Amino acid sequence: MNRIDHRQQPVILGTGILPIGQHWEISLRQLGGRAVRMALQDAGNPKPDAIYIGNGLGTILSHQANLGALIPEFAGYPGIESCTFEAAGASGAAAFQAACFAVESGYVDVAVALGVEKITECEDRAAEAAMNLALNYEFESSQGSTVKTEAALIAQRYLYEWHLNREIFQRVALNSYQNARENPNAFARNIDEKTYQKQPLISAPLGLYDIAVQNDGAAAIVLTREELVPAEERDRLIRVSGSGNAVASLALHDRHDLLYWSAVAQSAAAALRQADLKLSDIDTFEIWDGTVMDVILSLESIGICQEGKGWQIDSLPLNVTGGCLGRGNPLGASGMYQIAEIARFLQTQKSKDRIHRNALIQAIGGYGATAITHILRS
Amino acid sequence: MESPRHWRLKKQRYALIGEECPHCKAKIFPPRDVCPECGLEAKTAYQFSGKGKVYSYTTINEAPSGFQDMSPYAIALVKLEEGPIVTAQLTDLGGESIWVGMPVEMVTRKLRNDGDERGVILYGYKFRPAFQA
Ligand SMILES: [Zn+2]
Repeated sequence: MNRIDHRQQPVILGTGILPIGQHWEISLRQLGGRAVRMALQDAGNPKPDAIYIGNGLGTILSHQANLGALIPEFAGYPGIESCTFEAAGASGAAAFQAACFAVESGYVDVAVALGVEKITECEDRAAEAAMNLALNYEFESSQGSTVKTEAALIAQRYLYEWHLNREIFQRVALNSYQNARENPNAFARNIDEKTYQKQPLISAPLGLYDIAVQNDGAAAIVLTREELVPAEERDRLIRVSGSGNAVASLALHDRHDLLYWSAVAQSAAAALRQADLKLSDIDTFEIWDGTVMDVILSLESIGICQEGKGWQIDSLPLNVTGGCLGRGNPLGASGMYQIAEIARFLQTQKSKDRIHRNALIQAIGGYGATAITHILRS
Repeated sequence: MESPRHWRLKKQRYALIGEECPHCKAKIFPPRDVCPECGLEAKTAYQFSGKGKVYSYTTINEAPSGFQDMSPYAIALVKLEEGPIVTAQLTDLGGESIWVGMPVEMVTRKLRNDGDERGVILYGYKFRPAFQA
C-alpha cells in the first residue's frame, strides 16, 4: 500500500474504553453500545457515518451473528452503516483498519471502530472451545490440540533449539503484569515475581501466568481524516500513519519455519513502509502477548531482537499499558484496546513533552496466522 | 454428527494419505488443490510411511470437550520421514518420557467421542514410540 497525502490521513478524535473483567450484568450488545457512546463523547459528539465492529466469538458464545444490525441501535444510531470483521485475535485491528480505509478514502467522514467480546456468557469450557476455533479444525483441533498447546509446542521447540529453559519467560510476563498496575481498565491479576514462580504448569513449558486470561471487554475509537479537523486543533491529534495486514498458513505445521512468524514480519514492514519510518524511529512497541511465546517470536520476526534473544527485553519500551497478559484478553476486542490505550498514552506523553512520539502496535489472530500492524504518531 | 466431513477426511485420517506434487515432487500432507512448494496444481495421491520424529511436544491437562476421557495426553508436532509436519497425539507411551527427535510411527486410534446422542466415535492417526531400524 502507498503512503497517503497527510490531509487524508486518518486521525483519532476520541477513545472509549470499558474496564476488562466479568461484566455479568450486561450483554454483548450493551458492552459494544457503551464503548461506542463513550468514544463519541470523548470525541466531542460528532455524528458517526459508520461503525465497524471487531468480534471473534459472538456467534458461538452469545449465539449472535450480524452485530452490524444490532450494536448501532444500542449505541443510539440505528440505521447507520455497520458490519463485523472477524480475524480471531486480530478482529479489533481489522475493524480499525476498515475504519481507517473508510475515512482516508473519503467514503465516510466519521467512522467508529469498535472491538467487543463477551466471554463470560458461558462456562469456561465453552469459552475455551470457542477460542480453539482459531486453529485449523480439520487437522489441529480434531486431534485434541488447543490454542494453549500450540503455543506450548512452539515454546518447547524454541527452548530446545536455543538451549534455554523456561526461566526466560519470567521477564517478558512480568513486564506486562507490572505495566498493567497503573492501568485502571486492566483486569487486576497482581502477579509479582513470587506468585509467578509458584505458578502451576498448564502445558509445559507454559504456566498459568504465561497465558493471558480471557475476559469481557469493549473499546472504541472515533476516526476522521485530518483535513476535516480545524487547523488550530490539528496539533494535538494522534495520526494513523501506516497499517499492514498479512497472513501465514493457519495450521502451525504447514509453515516452513515454525519459529519465524512471516505474517508478523510482513505486516510490520508494510506498516513502517507506509509510515515512512524505520524500526529505530519507533519509541514504543505494543506487541501481541496472548502468551509469552507470542512476544518472543514477534520481537524476533519483526527484527526488534535477534533470533534466539526475543526474551531479552530489558530496555525495550514494550506493552506499556500491560498488553494482553496484564490487561486481560477479550479476544476480538484486544486489538482495539491496544490501539486505544496507546493513543491515550501518546497523548499523555505529548502533554508532558516526553519523547514517545511513534508507536508500533500489532495484533495477532490465531497462532501467528494473521498479523495486523498500525503505526500511530503524535 | 458432521458425517460428511468425517467421511471426506477418512483416507487422510485412517491411512495418512496425502499427495505428491506432479510438478516438483514435494510430498504434501494434508492434501490440497495447490502445491505449497511450487504453487501448481497438486492431485496425485501419496501414501505416507507413517514414520517420523517428534519435532516438539507438550502435555494437555485440561482437555477440550470430546477429549476428556483421554486426559491428560501428549500432543506433538511429528516431522514425517517424507518432510511434512503433522499435529497429533502420542500414544502407547507406557511411561516412556518424550524427547525432541524421538522416533515414532503412526497407529489408528479413537480420536474423540463427539458426545452426541448417537455417540459418534471418530478414529484417526496417533503416533507411538518406534524402535529405530
Ligand atoms: Zn509442487
